Amino acid sequence: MPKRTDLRKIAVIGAGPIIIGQACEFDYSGTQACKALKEEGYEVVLINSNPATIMTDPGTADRTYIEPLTLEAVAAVLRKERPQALLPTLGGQTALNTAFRVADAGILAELDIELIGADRDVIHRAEDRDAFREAVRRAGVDLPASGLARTMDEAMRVVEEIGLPCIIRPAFTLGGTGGGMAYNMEEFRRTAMAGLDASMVGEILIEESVVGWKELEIEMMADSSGNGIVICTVENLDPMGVHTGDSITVAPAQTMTDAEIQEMRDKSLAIMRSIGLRTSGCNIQFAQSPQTGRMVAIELNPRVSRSSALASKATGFPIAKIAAKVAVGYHLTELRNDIVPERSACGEPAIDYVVVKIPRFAFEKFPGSDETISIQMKSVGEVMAIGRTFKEALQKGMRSMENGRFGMGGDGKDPEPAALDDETVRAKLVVPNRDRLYYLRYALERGMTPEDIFALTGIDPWWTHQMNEILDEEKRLRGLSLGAMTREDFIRAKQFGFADVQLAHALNSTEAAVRARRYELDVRASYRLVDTCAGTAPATNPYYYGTYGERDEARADSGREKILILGGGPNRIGQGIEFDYCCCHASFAARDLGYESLIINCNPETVSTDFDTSDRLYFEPLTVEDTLEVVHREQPKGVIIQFGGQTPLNISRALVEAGVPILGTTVDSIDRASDRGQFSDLLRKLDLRQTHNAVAHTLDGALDAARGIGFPVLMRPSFVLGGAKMEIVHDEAMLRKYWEELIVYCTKADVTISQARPVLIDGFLENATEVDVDAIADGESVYIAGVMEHIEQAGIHSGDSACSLPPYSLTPEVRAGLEEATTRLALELGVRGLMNVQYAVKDGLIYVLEVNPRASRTVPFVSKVTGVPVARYATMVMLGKSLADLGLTDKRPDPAFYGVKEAVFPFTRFLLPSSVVSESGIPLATVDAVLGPEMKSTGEVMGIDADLDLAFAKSQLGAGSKMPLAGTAFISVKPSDHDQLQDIARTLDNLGFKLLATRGTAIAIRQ
Amino acid sequence: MALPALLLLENEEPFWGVAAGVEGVAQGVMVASGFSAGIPDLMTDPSYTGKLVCFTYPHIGTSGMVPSDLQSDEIAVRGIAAREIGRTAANRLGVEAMNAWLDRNAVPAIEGLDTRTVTAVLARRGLVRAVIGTGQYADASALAKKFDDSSAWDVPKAGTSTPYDWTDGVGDDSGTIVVYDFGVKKGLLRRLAALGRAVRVVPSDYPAVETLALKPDGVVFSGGNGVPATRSEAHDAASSLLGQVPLWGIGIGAGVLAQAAGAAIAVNGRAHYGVQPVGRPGEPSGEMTVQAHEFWIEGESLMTAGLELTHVHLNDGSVEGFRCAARRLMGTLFHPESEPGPRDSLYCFDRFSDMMRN
Repeated sequence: MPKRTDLRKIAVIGAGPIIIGQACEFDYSGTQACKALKEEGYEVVLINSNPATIMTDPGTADRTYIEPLTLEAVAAVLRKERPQALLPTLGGQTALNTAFRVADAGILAELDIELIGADRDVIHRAEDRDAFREAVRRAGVDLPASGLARTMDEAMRVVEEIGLPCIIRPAFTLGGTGGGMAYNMEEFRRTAMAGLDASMVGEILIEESVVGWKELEIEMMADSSGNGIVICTVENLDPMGVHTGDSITVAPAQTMTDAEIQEMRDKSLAIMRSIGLRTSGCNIQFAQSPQTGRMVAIELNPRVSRSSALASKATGFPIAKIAAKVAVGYHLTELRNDIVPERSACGEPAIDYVVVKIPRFAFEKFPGSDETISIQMKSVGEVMAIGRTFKEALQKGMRSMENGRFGMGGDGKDPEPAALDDETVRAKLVVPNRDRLYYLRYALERGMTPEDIFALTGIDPWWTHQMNEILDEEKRLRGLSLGAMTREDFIRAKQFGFADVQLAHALNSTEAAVRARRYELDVRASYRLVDTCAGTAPATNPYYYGTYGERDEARADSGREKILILGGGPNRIGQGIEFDYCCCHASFAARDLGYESLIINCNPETVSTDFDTSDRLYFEPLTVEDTLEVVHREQPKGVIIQFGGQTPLNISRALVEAGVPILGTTVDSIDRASDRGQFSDLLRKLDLRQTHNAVAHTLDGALDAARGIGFPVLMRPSFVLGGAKMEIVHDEAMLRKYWEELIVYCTKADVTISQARPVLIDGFLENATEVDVDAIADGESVYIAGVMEHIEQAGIHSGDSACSLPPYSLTPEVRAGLEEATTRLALELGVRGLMNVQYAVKDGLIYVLEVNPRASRTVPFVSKVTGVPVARYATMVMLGKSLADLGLTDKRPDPAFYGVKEAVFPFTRFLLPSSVVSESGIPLATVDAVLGPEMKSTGEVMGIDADLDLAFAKSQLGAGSKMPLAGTAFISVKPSDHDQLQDIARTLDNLGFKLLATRGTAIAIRQ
Repeated sequence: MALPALLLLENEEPFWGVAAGVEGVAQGVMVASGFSAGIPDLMTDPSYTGKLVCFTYPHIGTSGMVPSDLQSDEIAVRGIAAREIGRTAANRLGVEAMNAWLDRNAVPAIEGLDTRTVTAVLARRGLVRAVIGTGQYADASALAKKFDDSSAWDVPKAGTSTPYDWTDGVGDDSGTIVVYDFGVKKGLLRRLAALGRAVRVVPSDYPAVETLALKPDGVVFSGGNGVPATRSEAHDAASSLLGQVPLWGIGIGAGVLAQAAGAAIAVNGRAHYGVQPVGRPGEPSGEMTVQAHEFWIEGESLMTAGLELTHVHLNDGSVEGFRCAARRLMGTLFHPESEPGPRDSLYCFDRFSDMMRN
C-alpha cells in the first residue's frame, strides 16, 4: 500500500525531558520522523515539553506545542488541532505511555484520531507482562519458565520443574520485600518461605533465572504488509543481569552461529506478528543459555528505542525516518535506501566494521550512591565507537569516554599491580560495576584465563580472548623503543586501537614524541564509509569512521571551504542535549553560508550524529589525537569549539598548539575567563563587583581564608569543572568535613591538591537572586540574547535551578546594569560568538559569579522563548558576519509571555539494592536529594504561558512533579529563614492548606 | 611471527596481508560475501566450488566450525581473504577454530587485509580472477604468471557423479523426489526430505528416462556452480522432463530449466551472492533470500518462453523466480533453503509440495 491519503494532519508526541534511560536519542528519532512526514506532505503537529531539542525548533513541525506531556495537556492540543492520526512510537516510553493514557481516556475515539505506528492493543501486548507472555507463547517462542505457588508444597513442585537458580517474587509486596535469588535448595526453601510470609496474598512467583545468560538484541522494522527486516543484531558483552542500557554492547552479534542468528530472527518475526506489530521499528531482547543454547524472549519495545538509535548509527540505516514512513502506510518494498540509491529500503544492512557501545556513568555526582550496576539503568550517557575490528572499536570506545583514560588501560592510569589483589579483582568481576572493563584487563594480567573469567562473570571468552590479544600487542610494544618503531609497527598498533597516549606509555616516551614520530612515518588515519552495504555498492552519504593501514575513502573536496564542529561527546550530568542542539545549529548555519560543515562526535544518541545534519560526519572519539587526524584529512578553514560544552574546551589548548585554526573567541580569552587570577584582574579592570575570594591548598590555609572572607563560603576545587565537589560551607566544622571528603574524592580521581591545583573559596551571598545572561558578541558590539532570573536563590547550580525569561522581579536599573556589565565583559574578552554570564544580585548590587565565553546550557531555552536562533547567529558571527549584518543591533522587547525552565533529576535511580529496605518496605535512599552548587539534573522542561505562575506550573507538570492543590503543608526552617517564611505561610493558608510546623517555625509563623 | 600473504586481483595493484590457513596457493574467481556468521556453512556450499571468497565482515569464523551446519563433506571454496580469522571456537557448538579447520583442510587464506578495498574492486568490476599466495608462495611475479595459464582456471562441475539416496530425516517414503545435483547443499536435501518423501540424488547428466522410471512425485534441479552454458550436460534431461513431472529449479538449476523452457540467459554483470532482497510482483512483501548465481534471465524472454514472473530482485529488478502452471514448473534463482542466511523463503517448499500434490 502506498502512502495513506486519508490522513492530512498527524500529531507526534516527543519524549519530554532527558532522564536516565531516555536521552536525546528521541530528539534524533522525533526530528527524523517529523522531517519524513513533512516530506510526504502531511501537516505535522508536535507536542513536547523539552525545549532543548531540535525537534521543537521552528520548521521541524508545522506547529509545535511546548506543553507538559500529561493526559490533560495532550488532550487539549488534540482537541484544538483535530489531527487524523497520532504517532506515538518515536518519542520513547513517555510518548507511548502518554498515547496509551489518551487512548484509554477515550479521547482518541471521541476525536476520531487513529493511533498509527502502534495501536493501543499492540502497546498493551508489548507492555503488559501477562499479555506479552501470552503473545510470545502464541508465537511458539520460549520464555523463562515460571510458576505460582501458595504453599511450600506447591513451591517445591514448581522449583522441581524450573530448576535452580531461580528468582522468588512475592506477590503484592512493596520494594521487593522477601524476594530474592536462590542458588540452592536450602536458599530456595528459606526464600520461598519468607516470600510466602511476606506476600499480602500468600502467593509467590517462582521464575527461572537467566542471570548470566548471553544477552542478545535484535532491531527490526515492520510494515503493514507483514514484512519484517532485521536492521541489526546486538550482542551484549555483559550477560543478563545488567540492564542493556548499562551494558557494553556490540553490533553485530559476534559469537553466534548462523543457525542461531536465524533462529533469533525467525522468533523475532513470529513475536512481531503475534503482537500485531506492523508499521514500526521494534527491538526484541533475548537471553540464551551458554550451556544449552536455549533461547528465551525477554522483552519487546514496540517503538523506536535507545537501541534503535544505536542500530541506526551503527548501520547507517535511518530507522526513525523509515519507521515514520511505514507508519503512514508505505511498504518497505516501495521505499529506497537513502544511503545507497540503487538499493531498496527492504534490505537488511550488512556492515564491515564492529560497533561497540559503552555506557557513561555519573556516580561521582551522587556521593553514597550504590555504584554497582544491575537491572535498573543508571548510566547517564553512552559512547559508540566504530573500528575495523572489535579490538580497535573497543579501545576507541574506551578513549571516547572522557574519563581521563585512553583505551583498555596501559595509559599510565592503571593501579600498580601490587595495589591489587586477586580477591579485589575477583570481586570487581563478579559484581558488575562501572570499572569492570578495566578489571577484565587486570584479571587477564594476573593470569586469569578467559575461561576462568567466564566462570565468574558469564562474559563470553571470545571477548576476553580479544582483550588478551590487545595485551599481547601491548607487551610487544613495551619491548620496542620509539626510535625502533617502524611504519608497520605503528600501523599494527593503531589497528589494535592504541592511542598515542598508550603508545607513549608502552614505549616510555611522550605523547608529543610519539605523534611526531608517527607523522614522520606518515602513519595517518584513513576514513571509511558507514554505508549499510559493506562496500558492495556505491553510497552517497558522507558518514565516516577512522582506521589505519587501509585506503582512505573520504570524498574529494567539493571546493567549498570547510568548517569543523566539535561535538559534546557522551552525555553526562551538566553536559547533554543542550550542547548537541548548539552543534546542530552551527552545522546548519555553516551550510547556509555556503560552507561544507563537518562534525566529529562519538555520542550515538544525538541529532548531530544523524547523517544528514552535517555534510560530513566523523564518528570518532573527541581526543586531541583523533581530532587532529580529521583536521589533517579535511584541512578545515576553522574549527568551532564553543558549542560542544566542556569536551572540546578540554582539548582546545592542544589543538591551538598544533596549529589548528579555532573560530570565534580565542582559547586565550576562554582561559582568561576561567583562570581565577586573570578573571579577578579582568573584573577589577572593568570595575565589576565580585564576592571576596581566595585560594588554598591546605586545610589550615582554607580555614584561614574562609575566616577572612566570612562564612558561608562556596568551595570548589580549581581542577574539576562542571561543579563537581562544589559546596556551600557554613562553618569551620563543615569545612573540615568538606576537606576530608575532598581528599577522598581526589584520591579516587587520582589528583592531588597543590599550589598549582588549589581549592577556590568564594564568599557566598545568602538570599541573593541569581541571574543568567546569554549574549552574542562580534568583537564590536554585543547582543543580549536573554536575561534569565532564577526562581531558586543563588547557590543552586544554574543547571539545577528553575528560571524565568523574561525576569520577573528585577528592577529596570538592575537589568540595565546586568546588560551593561555583560556588554563590557564581552568586549573586553574579545568574544566572538556566544557568552554566558552568571550574576548574583543582592540589595540592588550586581556581583559577577562566572563568565563562560561559550555556548551555555540555556541557549536552546533562550532561543525557544525569544524566537531568535541564538546558536545559529553566533555561528554566523564566528564565520565573519557582524551583528549588524544579522540585524541584531537593537535590543529586542521582552516576549509577551513567560518561559520557565525547570530541571529534572535522577535521584530515585541511586538507591541501595532493593533488598535493603526500611521496615515499612520503602527502599532507603542513600543519596541526598538536596540541591546545591553541584549540578545533579539530567534534563529540563519548559513551561510557557502569559502568566508567570501558570508558566511555572506547566514547567512543574512537565518535569513530572506532583503539585498538590489541597492538603497539609509541613514547614520547618532554621531561625535565620524565619523572616522569609511569613509570605509563604500566608499564601499556603490562603490557598486552604492546613499548616504543620516544627516548634520554632510554628512560633515564628504565629507571630 | 606471522608469514606474509599476497592477494592478486587481475589487473589490480597487489594486496598484502598475513598468511592464515595452510601455506599455499589458491586461484579462482573471487566473490565478496557479507555474511558475519555461518562462514563454515558457506564455505562448504558447493555453489562456491572453485571460488575465492572475500569476506566483508572483519571477524570471520568466530563461532568455530559446527559440523551439523556444514553443507557438504568438503570445503568448496579454494581460498579466502579476510580481515581477521577466528583462532578460537567461541560458540558452544564449535568443535574446531576456523583457522585450524582451514589448515587441516588445506585451504590457504589471507588475513589482515583491506577487504573493503578489495570489495570495492569486486563491486565495480564484477567477477574478477584472483590468486592468493601465502607464506613462501607470497611471490608477486610467480603468482602473476597464473593469470597467463588459462587452463589452470577451469573449475570442476560441482555435484555427485553417482546416484545415492539421502537418508537423513526422510519421512514415510510415500513417494520420491529426484534431485539433479549441480552442487546440492545438505540443507536443501534436509528440507526436501522434510516434505515426507524419499530423496534420491542423481548426477546432473542423469538421463530423463531413468528419472521417469523412478516415478518421482517431483524433480528438483539443485543449486550449484556454473552458468547454464557450462552445465550443458543437463540440457537433454531438462528438456525431456519439462511438462512430464513437477519440476523445481534452484539457482543454477533454475537457469538450466529456464533455458530449456526457452528463456534467454545472460551472463554479464549481474552476479548475485549472499543475502539479497527479493519481491513478488503484485504483492507488497519482500523477502531476504540467499543467492549464489552468476547468470540472469532476460525479463522479456520469460513471456515468449511461456513463463510467469514470480520473483524480482528489489535492487536491480532482475528476474529471481518464475513458474509455469501448465508445465508444473517453478524456478527460484535464490536458495530457499538458505543455510547460511534468512529463512524467509521456506514457503517455496510448500509451493513445490502443492505442485507435487496437484
